[in-house]
Amino acid sequence: MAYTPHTPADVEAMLASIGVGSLDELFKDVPASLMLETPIDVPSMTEYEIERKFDELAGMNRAYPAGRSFLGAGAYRHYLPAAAKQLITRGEFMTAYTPYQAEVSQGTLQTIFEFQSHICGLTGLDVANASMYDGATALAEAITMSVRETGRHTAWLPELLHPHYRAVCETFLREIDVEIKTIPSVDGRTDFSAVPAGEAAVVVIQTPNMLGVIEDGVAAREAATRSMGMLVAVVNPTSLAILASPGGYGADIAVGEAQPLGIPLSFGGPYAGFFACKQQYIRKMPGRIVGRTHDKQGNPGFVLTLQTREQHIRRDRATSNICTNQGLFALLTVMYVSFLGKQGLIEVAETSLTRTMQVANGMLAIPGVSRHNPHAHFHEVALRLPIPATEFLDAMADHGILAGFALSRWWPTEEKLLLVNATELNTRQDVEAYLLAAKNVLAGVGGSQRAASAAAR
Amino acid sequence: MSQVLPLINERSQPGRRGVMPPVASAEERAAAVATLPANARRVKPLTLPEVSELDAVRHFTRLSQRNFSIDGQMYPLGSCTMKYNPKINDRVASFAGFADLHPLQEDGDTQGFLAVYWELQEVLKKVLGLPGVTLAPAAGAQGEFTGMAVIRAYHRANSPHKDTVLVPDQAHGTNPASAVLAGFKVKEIKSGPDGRVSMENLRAAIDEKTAAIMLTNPNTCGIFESDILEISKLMHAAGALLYYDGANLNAIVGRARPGDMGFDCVHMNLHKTFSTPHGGGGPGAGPVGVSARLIPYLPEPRVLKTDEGTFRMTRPGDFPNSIGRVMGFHGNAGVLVRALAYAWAQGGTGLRDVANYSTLNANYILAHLDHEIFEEPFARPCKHEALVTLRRAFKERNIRAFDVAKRLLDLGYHAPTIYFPLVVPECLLIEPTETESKQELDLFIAAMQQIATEIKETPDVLRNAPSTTPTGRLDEAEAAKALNVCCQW
Repeated sequence: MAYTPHTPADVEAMLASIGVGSLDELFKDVPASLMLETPIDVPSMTEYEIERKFDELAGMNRAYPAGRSFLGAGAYRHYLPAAAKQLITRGEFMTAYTPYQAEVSQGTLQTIFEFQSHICGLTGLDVANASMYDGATALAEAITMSVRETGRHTAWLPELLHPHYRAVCETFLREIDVEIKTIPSVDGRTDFSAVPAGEAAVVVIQTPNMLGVIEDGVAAREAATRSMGMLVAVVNPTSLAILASPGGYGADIAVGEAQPLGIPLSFGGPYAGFFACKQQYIRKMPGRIVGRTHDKQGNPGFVLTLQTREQHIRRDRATSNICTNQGLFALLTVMYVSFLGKQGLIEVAETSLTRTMQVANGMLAIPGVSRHNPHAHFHEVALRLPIPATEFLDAMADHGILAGFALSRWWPTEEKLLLVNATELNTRQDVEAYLLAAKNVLAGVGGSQRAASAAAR
Repeated sequence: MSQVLPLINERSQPGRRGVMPPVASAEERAAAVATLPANARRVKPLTLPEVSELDAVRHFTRLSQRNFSIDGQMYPLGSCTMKYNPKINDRVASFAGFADLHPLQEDGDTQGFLAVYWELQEVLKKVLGLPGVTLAPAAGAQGEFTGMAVIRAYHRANSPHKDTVLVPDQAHGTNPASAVLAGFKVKEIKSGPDGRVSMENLRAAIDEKTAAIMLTNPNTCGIFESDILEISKLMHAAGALLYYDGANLNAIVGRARPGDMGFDCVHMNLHKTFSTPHGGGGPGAGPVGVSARLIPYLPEPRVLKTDEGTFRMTRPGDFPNSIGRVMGFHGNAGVLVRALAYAWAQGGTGLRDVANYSTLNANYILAHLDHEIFEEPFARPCKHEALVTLRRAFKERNIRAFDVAKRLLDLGYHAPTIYFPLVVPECLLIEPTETESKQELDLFIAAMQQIATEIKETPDVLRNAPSTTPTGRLDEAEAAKALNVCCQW
């Protein structure tokens, strides 16, 4: 029995004081046939045994050191300062509840307000919420909000939207009768001119797109206006340190994944979605919102506001069903942004771009390697290899390098396409090691153990 | 405690630096940036903090000191199950083998995490008494949507005219909200005078369009739905399914199973029953368990065991009737590690103790409250949470549940849940959880007794509460009017 402090003497005293004969008597209103006769079959371990067991399990994972990994595709390696790693473990943050009782939650409430402020600062929009589950579900919520706001049921999603984001949108939008139409791409970049005039709820732009290419926000804005839909921009927060902001090109809503702001990769979660929009839509926005106010003595403070949009009050007419969100990880990004600061974020973005270009240029010098498309990119680029990307990755793994993402996992016919991401954690030496290994692999020198055994299967 | 804490940006000094990231040289960066087209570049200046590392450390440390937390205070929040969050769980979740693993690495690289998912799936199947489980949903509400979408898909394939879901009036707001998002209409059924589902109202509400009923058991009044076997027979006979909101699972975990009660689809809240930290508003996790006929519709991805005893993630096409993805990647994996650590710390015998002692603790508090002030609307025993009402105190003395909540903050307790469930006016829903000792409960009971006395003798103390916290009562109307939600730099 773990974490329960009750001694037999406690139990006896408590039962006696309330006039109940046994613990079982407290369950007399449960049909006897439902009460299990034996405990369920789960082993119990001491803390030491648990640590050993999880040490073993963690050892069954192959996590690459950040500098040896060049895999992005929706989750990115960035440095989280030691001070943030430590501060986030404070019990006053981790074990606090949702800040419904504002007077004893000013810490949490102020950090949410700061998160909202940073998201507004990065996206260039007016208001933001306290977080969503992740970037993909934030996009689904943005589309739902656009449908509700416009009364129309067509959503234009780019072909080059991250496939997992598309899949999540399909799951949620199917239930509320939204027709998804696809905006085609030309050569790795979305052709927004293909969106017709007419009756849409929303046009979506993701920039950088799934191939790392920077999309044209102005063209997307024109497409939205033409189609009478709202413009939703899905954006990478690191990129916003140096790239055009959604507010700048007239997006109505900006969403995305806050994971790049220092949240550990952690096999895909917990992350945190962000959601920002123009002031005029604040009452339609899903999720919790923190606002500034004062108490009776005139002291400034923070409270949850506009709760009438939310499920606990509006119930079946709520803007969303979201309740628990990703609060602790939104706080982690506030710490990241604070410790790195404005200049630090700019340097991270510039360095990520620089290293990606250095990898790409070095790869392009190898015979048989070419770019998938000619467009400007951020910290990810798609390359065509002379061999299947999966074989390349297996061989690079033998050199201790996680060399990118095989796009055939999403586009089965594109066997030779590799998506490579570099960040500030890939130093000049890491880039050189990558290129040296790649030259070996692609020259046919130093085969792959994994490829050989795969062939033998 | 200082009254005003500046925002982090209000501490900025232009040019001040904090932690320096690894950088490419200025020349290399300038050359890279120069290749970006002009119209892709940021125009509006970036407004983010410019503080030193110490500035930021002090900022967050001081902010943390303005919070209540389970580590510091008792949180008897009904329906939230604010039990102790074991630190061993955080420790194992932080192991590099877990923290540094990318979600898109191939199965060969991720056998450890896949094993965690598999093991937790198996534990939850046993806890719930159901053969199918998904760990994808990020929170209870998302679990509710997922479960209701699975039910919708099932009916779409078999009886598409079934488009209505029954929801008791005492249900948590996420229930009707999730049902609507899953494409259903919602029909509310009034509870009976004993705080339970009224069988008469239920029979009257069922028709050929009824797809499902959403229930919590014990319900949101803290009372076990003793007629559950009759309810499930009735629903199944009408071709409808039963959905279980697992928010109150703590009362029966390890002693009774929703699957045995006839529930077809269940969500759990790991941040409640399985001790994962609330984090000031998440992250949580909302796994969903289902009966056999619903397994084909579970979301992607799932974790399967191969014939060789290794694990793999499902690939597109493995389960063609799946409702699809509900999250960008694999759910809140770091939360799942913590939940599995908790499950193994408890084992089957420990989970049974959780149900026994959470229920004992709630009944202990209920029995010792001043019932002249804290009236009991329903008969004992309660389960893991106790519902009382200040209906009479409000009528006779104009003191509300809100006032009691604020006074408890002064006495060093987080308030219980107030004004939920909606079916009882001026209510307090008190859930101590099993991790509070008799000594802590006695202190809480003494605090509640003090408040009862104050209500009778010096009620203004409540009306002016809290007075010992960083702020007094905050003006919510002003907040909703000003809508100042984002610091404009």
